[in-house]
Amino acid sequence: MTARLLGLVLVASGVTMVAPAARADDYALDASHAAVTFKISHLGLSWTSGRFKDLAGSFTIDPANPAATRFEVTAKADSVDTDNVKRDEHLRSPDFFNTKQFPALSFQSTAVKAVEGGYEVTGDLTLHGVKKSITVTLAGGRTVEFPRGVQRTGYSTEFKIKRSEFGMDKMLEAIGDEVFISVSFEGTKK
Amino acid sequence: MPDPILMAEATVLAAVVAAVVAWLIDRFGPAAGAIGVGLGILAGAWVLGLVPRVPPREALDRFLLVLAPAAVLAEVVAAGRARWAGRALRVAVAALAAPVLVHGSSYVTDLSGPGSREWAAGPTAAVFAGLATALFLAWTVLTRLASRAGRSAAVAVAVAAGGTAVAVMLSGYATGGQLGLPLAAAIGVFAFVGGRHRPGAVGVAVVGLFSLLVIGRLFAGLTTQNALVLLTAPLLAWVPELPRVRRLGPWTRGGLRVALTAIPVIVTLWLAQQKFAADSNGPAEGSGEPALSDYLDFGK
Repeated sequence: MTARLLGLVLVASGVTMVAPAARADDYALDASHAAVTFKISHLGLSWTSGRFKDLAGSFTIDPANPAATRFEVTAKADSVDTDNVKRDEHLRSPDFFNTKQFPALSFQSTAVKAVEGGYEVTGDLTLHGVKKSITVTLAGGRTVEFPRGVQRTGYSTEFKIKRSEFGMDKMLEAIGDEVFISVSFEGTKK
Repeated sequence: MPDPILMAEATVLAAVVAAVVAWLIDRFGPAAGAIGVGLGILAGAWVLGLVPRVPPREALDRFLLVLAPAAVLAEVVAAGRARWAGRALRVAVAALAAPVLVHGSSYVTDLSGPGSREWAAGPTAAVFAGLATALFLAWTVLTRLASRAGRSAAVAVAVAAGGTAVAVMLSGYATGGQLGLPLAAAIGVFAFVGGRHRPGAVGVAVVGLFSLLVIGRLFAGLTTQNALVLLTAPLLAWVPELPRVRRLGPWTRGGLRVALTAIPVIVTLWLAQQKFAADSNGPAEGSGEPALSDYLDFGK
């Protein structure tokens, strides 16, 4: 009888030890420590860089079940900033982002697979009103407590798209079609 | 200016298509002019690479696929026996023009979450009512003028459309603004051909002018003041119809109509150019700083 009780206690403790690892953690994007930057060819000579200043998002990390892990990031198109006011105004016009018609860019994951050092994330990238599936590799996942009492983690990725595939097909001769995008973000545990 | 050769090709093709179509279906009178201008605009859009996407995604697509055909239909019906039906269609197109152009935009749709639309229901109704009234008045006034003085009415609308093209390009919508040039050519050609086609041609061109101005104002950086001046400028062509001025000779009055339209358009363009130069920190001639046109021309 004592041995059976001891066994039950051991099994129960085992379950409680496993449970925290299986729990999914929800994070809110920390916009102060997040960046969506891009670079695009200018005349085939150099790169012009820019960023989106207004970001929001959230993600859920489930180490035991990567399929339950999800990422969602949104950037306001009119927050585009290339350090040139006139160029930014032109980028907001229908020649490029058409921000009054398509005010947001977003990524929403649809499938997540654990890989060494992070995740392989497939999801829908919506840009200029066109939704396309892309796959990126998110590197990161280390967690730290900073500041005290706040759990945070972070990921980064780089990928490229063709803007013409999203209907942004004006001035392709001068301003490149391929856009190199870098995304890096931290999230704080809810 | 952006690729002058391409714009010239679009302009010439629009004029030729408008004139040839009107000539081919000459027996339909004003309806032939309306169809000619409609097809002329589409031909120009095709040359400029502005072929509308189906389903329409942006305001320019909606103008080309919905509003321009609707305006043509209204003018075709108005040219027929059931003129009341034509007038009713003009009212309907005028009422629907602004809602169609801003459809699905952040002005009227919660694209960034609940309550994010920029115009509340009340102001939206007021804006739509104001724009519908403005379009209907301009449409009615200018088609009536075209029945009395068709040649100068066509030139007046063409001058305003050409000015709109440049103003919208300067306001940051370089590719879309170019459509004003084939529009100007498609209506301008009726100053030289097709006398009885002019009322229908002017009717469709006014809807085109209005649409480009609304797109420039709401989706690019065209100022309200410049948009208003460009829409009202051709209405000044009515001044020579006032009692005392009517005593002047026909050529004098024709010249006066064109001048009264051209002067505010030229002043508006000058102001738009000044604003563009100031906003761009005014790249001086020969400074090596690229202008918008340099980007549009690059690689061509």
